[in-house]
Amino acid sequence: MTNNNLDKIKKELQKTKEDLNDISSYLDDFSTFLPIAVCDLSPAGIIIHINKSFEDVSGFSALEIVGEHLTDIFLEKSKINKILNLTRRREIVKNQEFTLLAKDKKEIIVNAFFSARKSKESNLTGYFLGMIDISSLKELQNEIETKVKRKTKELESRTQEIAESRTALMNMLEDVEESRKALINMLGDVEEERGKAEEEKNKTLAVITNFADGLLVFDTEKKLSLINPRAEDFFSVKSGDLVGRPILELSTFPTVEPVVKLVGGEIKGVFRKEVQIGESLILEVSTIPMIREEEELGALIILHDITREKMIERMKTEFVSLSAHQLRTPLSAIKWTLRMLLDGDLGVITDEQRDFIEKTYKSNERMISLINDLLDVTRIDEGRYLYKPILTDLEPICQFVINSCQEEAERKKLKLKFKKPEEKLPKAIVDVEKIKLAIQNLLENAIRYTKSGGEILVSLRHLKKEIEFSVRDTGIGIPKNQQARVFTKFFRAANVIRMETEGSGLGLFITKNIIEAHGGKIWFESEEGKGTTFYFTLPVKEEFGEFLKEF
Amino acid sequence: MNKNQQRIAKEEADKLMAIPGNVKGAVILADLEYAHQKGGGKIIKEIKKRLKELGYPVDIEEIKPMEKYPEALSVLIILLIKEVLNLADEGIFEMGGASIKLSPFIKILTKYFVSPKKCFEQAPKYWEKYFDFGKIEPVEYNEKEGYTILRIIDYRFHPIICIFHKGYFTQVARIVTGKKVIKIEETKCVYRGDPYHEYFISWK
Repeated sequence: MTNNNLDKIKKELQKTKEDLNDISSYLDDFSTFLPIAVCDLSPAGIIIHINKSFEDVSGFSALEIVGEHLTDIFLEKSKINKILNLTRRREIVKNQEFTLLAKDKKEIIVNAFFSARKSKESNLTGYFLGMIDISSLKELQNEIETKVKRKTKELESRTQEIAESRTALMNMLEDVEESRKALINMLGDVEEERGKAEEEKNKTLAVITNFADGLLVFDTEKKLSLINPRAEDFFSVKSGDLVGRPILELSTFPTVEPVVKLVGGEIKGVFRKEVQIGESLILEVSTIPMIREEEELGALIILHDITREKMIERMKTEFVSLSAHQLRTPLSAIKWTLRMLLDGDLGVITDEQRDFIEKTYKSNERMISLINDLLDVTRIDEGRYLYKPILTDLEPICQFVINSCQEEAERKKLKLKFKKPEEKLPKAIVDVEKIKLAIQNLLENAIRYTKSGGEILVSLRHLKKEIEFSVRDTGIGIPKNQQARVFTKFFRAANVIRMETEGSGLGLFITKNIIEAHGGKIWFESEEGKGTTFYFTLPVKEEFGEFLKEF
Repeated sequence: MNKNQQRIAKEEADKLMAIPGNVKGAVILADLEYAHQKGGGKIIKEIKKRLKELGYPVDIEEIKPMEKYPEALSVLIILLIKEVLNLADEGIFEMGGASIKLSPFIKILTKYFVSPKKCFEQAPKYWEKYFDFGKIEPVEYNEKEGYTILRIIDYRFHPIICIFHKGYFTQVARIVTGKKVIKIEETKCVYRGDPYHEYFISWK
């Protein structure tokens, strides 16, 4: 080789060295600039070179990390080995997500790219690893995923709610459909029932219209809702003038006023009370509250025309009164004649004659007594029984009657006692003769129906606003099934009839009317075979005053 | 500086620099990078200052990886790095390993690190690419037992390089075997009267 050629070769070699140094410098600059973290790996996966970005991402310097195995700096160690094997076969493996364990122990999510380095003979000489820190992206992704999950969950929840609502709605629709069908059926039934009710109503209206008694129907507000033709006739009014008016307003109609006065604004309970309408009409008034299943629907006033009955009764009473008066005159004459015979004013009579005359006298006396009772009853019926009310003590009256009965009680060997009040009784306004008669009736009954050896106790006591009188005997008592009729006319209990005792059956009727005429009450307690106690009360002065206002 | 650490004397440097043989600048640059990483820019300035003091003013920033420089300068720089960084033997061992880690040209040579056996076989070529003197001789490679024996022949600059080479070989073995535990022993040494340096390298 010539010197020229040698110099030429040396120059070329020098140029080549300079080019290599330039390339080296360029590669260094490029490697330093490269924003992607890059490292070279040996075929065994040992890190043999890293660039500046790798140092920045991992925090390791080349001195610290070169020579270490790649698995030492990643969390997914087995996956690294798998990927290296895969890279060996495919040469390039992209977009693999790994967790880089940085020097400061921080876990950095990176997107890694692997490339196999091979010699000309295709022998593996190592790997390139490029990676990008995607922690921020990952955080963003996680954040978005979290949001998406949350939203998805909310959406699912909402969808679930909607599905449930839809199901509920469908169920409701089914229910509604069923309800609709049921309603249609019910409407059918209702229509049928309405028809029946209409029919019933028509029947009822027909009954009401043609009812022999007058009917006034009031609603819960005490307004007249119905008046039947019979009642229109009674009052000489037209339904249209009265219906819809409150009961008190009805008193502006003169014919209706007596009924309104009787029942009052509240339509109080009245049973068979008589009312005179005009001069020729007498009505028996009864009120009935209309209640259905404990619900008050109003009130019904029934007006029964008793004009004819009253006329017959009055005629009967007048007949009885007239007959009694007609009978009493000859009976009185007979009485005095018999008295004169018994007293010997008409000559001496034999004992046998006396016996007959005395029996006749007693029979006559009973006849007179019966006539008197009948007269009393007629007076009661005519409403002219109470004559001479005066303010007086009741105790002396009682004592008087007891004294008059004492002889008869002793004759029957009965103990007759008078239990006087401990304190002085207030005075009462009474018709003395009538009260005497009432007490006498009760006491005579007690004596009459008590067997020998029995006891009779008469008591007087002061209650709050009244005086209570009682007669207690140990007599035969009144059978339970007959007690309701005790105060009716001509009533005599079965056990009394069997005793064949005297009695007209008018005494208790008269007594009851006397007491009630005084504003008092009368009742009894009785047990057959053990005895009876009759009570009556009379109002003391104040109450009686109030009572009299009604007359 | 460690009290026991002796500063390099002018005579010692001159004696070293008189030994012939060249190495590529890439090797020196790797050592300087190690010093830079350990001590920063001021260390580089200190080394420059010491080189100047010793009578070898070198503009080390201008060292090119592909240019050849005296191996003696490379060894002197290692000694100065040891001096200024006050390194013990462990530091020198690490620096030897760092030569592999930090050399920008190492990536070009990774084809020799394909496998331990390949690396063993290619070692002489590798040596020749960097050095224009001496040689490396692969003596034995036992993959089954996990060891290899290498010799460096005709290399005699400074005993510190024995430690440096142990670090270097250890790092290479780690890269090519992928093993964490590498053991190395200099079984023969010219400074102990042997004709060459011999290293027994094993791994598990």
